[in-house]
Amino acid sequence: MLEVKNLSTYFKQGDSTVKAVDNVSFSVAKGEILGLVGESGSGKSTIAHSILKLIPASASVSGEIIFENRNLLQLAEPELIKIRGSKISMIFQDPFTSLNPVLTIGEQIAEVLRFHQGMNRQQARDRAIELLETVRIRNSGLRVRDYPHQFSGGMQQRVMIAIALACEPEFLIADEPTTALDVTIQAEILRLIVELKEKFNLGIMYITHNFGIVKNICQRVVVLNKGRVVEEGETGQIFSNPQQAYTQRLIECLRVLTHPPTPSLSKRGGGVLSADGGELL
Amino acid sequence: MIEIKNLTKYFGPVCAVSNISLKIEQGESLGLVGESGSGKSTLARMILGLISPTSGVVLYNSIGKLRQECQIVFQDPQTSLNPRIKIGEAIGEPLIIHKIVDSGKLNVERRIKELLDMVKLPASYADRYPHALSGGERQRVGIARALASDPKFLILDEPVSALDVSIQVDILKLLKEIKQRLNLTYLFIAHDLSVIGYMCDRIVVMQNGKIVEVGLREEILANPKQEYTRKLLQSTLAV
Repeated sequence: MLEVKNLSTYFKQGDSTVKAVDNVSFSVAKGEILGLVGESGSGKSTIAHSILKLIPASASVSGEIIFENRNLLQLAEPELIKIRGSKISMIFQDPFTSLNPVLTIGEQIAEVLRFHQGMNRQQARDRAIELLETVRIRNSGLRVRDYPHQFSGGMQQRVMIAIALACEPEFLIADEPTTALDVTIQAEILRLIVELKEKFNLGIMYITHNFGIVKNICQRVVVLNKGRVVEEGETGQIFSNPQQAYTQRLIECLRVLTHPPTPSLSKRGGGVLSADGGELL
Repeated sequence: MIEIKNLTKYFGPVCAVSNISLKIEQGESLGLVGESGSGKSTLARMILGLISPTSGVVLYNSIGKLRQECQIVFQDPQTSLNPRIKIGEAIGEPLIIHKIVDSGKLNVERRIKELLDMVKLPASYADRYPHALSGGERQRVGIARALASDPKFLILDEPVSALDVSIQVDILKLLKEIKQRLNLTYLFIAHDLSVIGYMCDRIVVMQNGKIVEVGLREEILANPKQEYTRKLLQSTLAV
């Protein structure tokens, strides 16, 4: 459903050029969660931002991003505006800085609906309440009137997900949405994302540096290092037989943390999502 | 080494830490685990005297030397270093404040080099500013700065949660090595039980300002008694 072909994004820094993304190709199918994995600076977020043209005009972007038979990179801004937040939406890493502190939660969800779907105030508000229920915020009828600071980190991230889902997108980019959260809340948010994927048959590109998350929710993985794809494959295959030293190292890092010193963790395997009804992979 | 008796802290009507008693033994690495808001950091800050408790006491062998001998490494290396002060000066400051070395400039510089070496950073980093360092490197500076005053006890308040997993492992290994080399005692705070399990011999689980479970690592990880501990354990992502 979304295909990235030979994407390169370069930034000018003084006289030199930084190749943040260098000839990257991959695709994501409907109903699939693709993990985009790499360390800080590997180009993960730049890829996400390039897909939606959220990068500075001074950067040079080449290649193709095919979505619904159109190359997003060649679309004019007014066309892109119709796609952003509507057909393709994004959840960012840090809910604390992505929500506007002076607007209520309800207003921020309603804004997307009024802009993209032309709803009136009342319709947008009713739909905002529904969306808060979808992401399991209790007393949503009352909570729409709250401001972000009245919500915990996990709840703020749920609001971000509600905003991202508001226009029933087909494709979702999740850029490290749980990195700023506690592990317990992380497990809840991951469960929610998988559930919503099933419910709406979404294609999801999930960006992370954590292979533990990949093992739990992703069907396929693309591993990035210094702006290039170093490995790609089914999640199971990547874990059982990583080809590249870089991938091995990233997986090994997690094993060091979860294996020898904490035997009970390794015995369970990645069990976050298996609490109610078996492993999802 | 440190004994905490009936420590309680209220912020207005909110009880952040409720009647906690705990002993930290010389040479151990004690893990403190719990979610945001469970009172972990408030407890740490009371131990160091950075905030004063509503009631209760903290006992330490030589209380007059607490500020020198007990140090802390903070979570976020980005905000805990002054962006306008060079790395060398940031590390050197405690040396001068606590009169650790003779104030001769050469001595200070030599000690800064030693400290950078201990956290495996090149000596040339002394002349850099924090923005020129990566997150992992900055956390190494945070550790070097905490070590500058020759502490005996170190509180590590989520020292790796802002870092990439691969960098986390490097930093944790470094902390283990330093502990052994300098014969330190650690209080290690984290919300992730896998990190705590890697680092600590004994684990304290906190929830809503109270201790819900204390035990040796093996007991807690293999056979948690409390529902809450089981939930934390289930939330770790093993591969």
